[in-house]
Amino acid sequence: MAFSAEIFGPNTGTSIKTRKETAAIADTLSEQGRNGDSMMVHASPFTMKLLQDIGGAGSFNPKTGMLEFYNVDEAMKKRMGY
Amino acid sequence: MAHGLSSEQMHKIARSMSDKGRNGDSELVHVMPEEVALLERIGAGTTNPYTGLREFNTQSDLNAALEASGGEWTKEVNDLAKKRDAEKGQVYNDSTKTYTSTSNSGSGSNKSGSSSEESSNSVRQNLANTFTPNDGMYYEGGILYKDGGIRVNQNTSYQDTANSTTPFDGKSYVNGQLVDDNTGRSVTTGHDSVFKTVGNVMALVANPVAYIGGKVAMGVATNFFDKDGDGSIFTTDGKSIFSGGSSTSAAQMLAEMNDSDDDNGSSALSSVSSTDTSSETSEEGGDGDDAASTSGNVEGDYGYSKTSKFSSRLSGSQLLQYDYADGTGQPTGTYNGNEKPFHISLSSENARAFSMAEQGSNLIDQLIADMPADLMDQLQGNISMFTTSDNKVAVVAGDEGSGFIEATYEADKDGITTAMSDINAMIDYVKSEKDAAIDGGFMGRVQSYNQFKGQATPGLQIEMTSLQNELAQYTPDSPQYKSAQAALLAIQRELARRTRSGAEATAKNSVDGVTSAVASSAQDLIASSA
Repeated sequence: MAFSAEIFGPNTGTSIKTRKETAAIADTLSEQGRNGDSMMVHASPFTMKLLQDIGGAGSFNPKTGMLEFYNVDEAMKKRMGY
Repeated sequence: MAHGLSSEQMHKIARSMSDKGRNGDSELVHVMPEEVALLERIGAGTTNPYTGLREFNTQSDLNAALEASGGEWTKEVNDLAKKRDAEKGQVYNDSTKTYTSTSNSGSGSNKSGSSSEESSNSVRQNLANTFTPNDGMYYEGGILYKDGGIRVNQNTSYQDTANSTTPFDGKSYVNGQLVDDNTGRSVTTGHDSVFKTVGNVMALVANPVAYIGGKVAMGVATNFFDKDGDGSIFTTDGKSIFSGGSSTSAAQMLAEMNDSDDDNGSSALSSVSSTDTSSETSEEGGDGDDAASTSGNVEGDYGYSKTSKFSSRLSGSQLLQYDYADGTGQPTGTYNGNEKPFHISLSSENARAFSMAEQGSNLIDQLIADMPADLMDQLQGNISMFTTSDNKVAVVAGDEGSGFIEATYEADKDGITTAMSDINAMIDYVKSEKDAAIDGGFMGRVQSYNQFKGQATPGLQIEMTSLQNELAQYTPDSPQYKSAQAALLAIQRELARRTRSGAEATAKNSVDGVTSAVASSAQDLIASSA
């Protein structure tokens, strides 16, 4: 690849076109989040533990089957009308 | 569903994306923006090159350090391991050689019932008391106790992070509770939200000037950007820090600001200083005998890969050298030591020119990104857009080996439209002719291609022969001779382009081609006005 890492990220041998298509899929997946979850990230077990420690749900999103870490307290308060 | 995917398809896609995680990232997870901001604050945030999603692996640092040390447990490795353990909520005990969990995932019996303090439990803590009554622990007043009233000594990893990232906010988390640093008493109102710390970071990213400006106003970062101490971070000696024909982008300045946040902005200041010096030299037009000689040289490293075969931003500029002795701004430099650039127009305002040059640079990036991948990979050279010292916008194309060609445009609506149109034509040419070598002759090839598009090579060869015969009948330097000669040279350039004879790659090819096109346009204008 012959492009600026500043703009397009590290050289992976994957064309920008492919990356843009993948990013569009990632956007679609991100839109399936609920209770304030609007983004998706790659996470290691350590990261997931950290997300749970700060109040993340750690449940499964029914639409994507992926784990979700919306703030439980905030979601519960909202649901219970606090 | 709006996206037209079944639940099963969505699951498959998500799993496929998840598999693209690296360095131990085994899952793709839904998160809130505030959580991402917190992870960014902790560090290790990078972008996964395959999916474009953020990743926050910390184990990779440790693995890399271990690999570098040949497996030896060095101090660096040890420090990274401690960092990782802290994030996991674990502490390693050297004497017992065991990990002690500081998380709240114990089991036992919870105290049931209610108390006056129970109301300050969070909803989740109350639910925990209700649904796990026999795990040996209970929440009261927001604090976790073991049965018997012994408070569990713990901070969550977030609370430790909050302590370390906001050491001077007057409050700290102790044993999971927020206390006032001075009184040691619990802070029961105005609880420091998980995301309050992140809020400042987000403000820095979303609105850096306001954030830094606030720091300046508080005296925390005095003189951070206010180089001349005039109370404005936007001016230096009365001049905008953005002036001076520099292509330094706002994003780059932001990056420099962030990098220099802890060292009082030395790198940001040096960058501004460099740009400003160039600006003053340019605007004053020099002194004494050299009064008319000006330069729009752009200083600095623009952050683009030096090893890339193609770039949309030239790193510094050896171009744009003009002599204003006669007030017309004649180019004095040469791009490759042999060929002279052409300069079309003059005059306008620097800020507008700078903004337009940045827009043009972004357009180039976008057009390149939309190219077919295989063609994109073959691109070599440079197409970039600059602000000139006389507040114009210049499109520069070429490479180090064969030289660069610059076309200059007025920094107004018509000028920028023409510049954008020309850039579009260049990219279209690359795509239609699969000509991915952006060298000194590139602009000439684009011009030639558009001039002779649709005309077959045999026809051009016949016309060339005809013109050669015609030339022999005219008196040299007569108007007819010059006209026929110009037409002949144009055909020869096009044939050189089609046959790749070598002449099409030189800067001369561009200078001749574009000069010819400009002359032709001028003749059309004269003819139409007559």
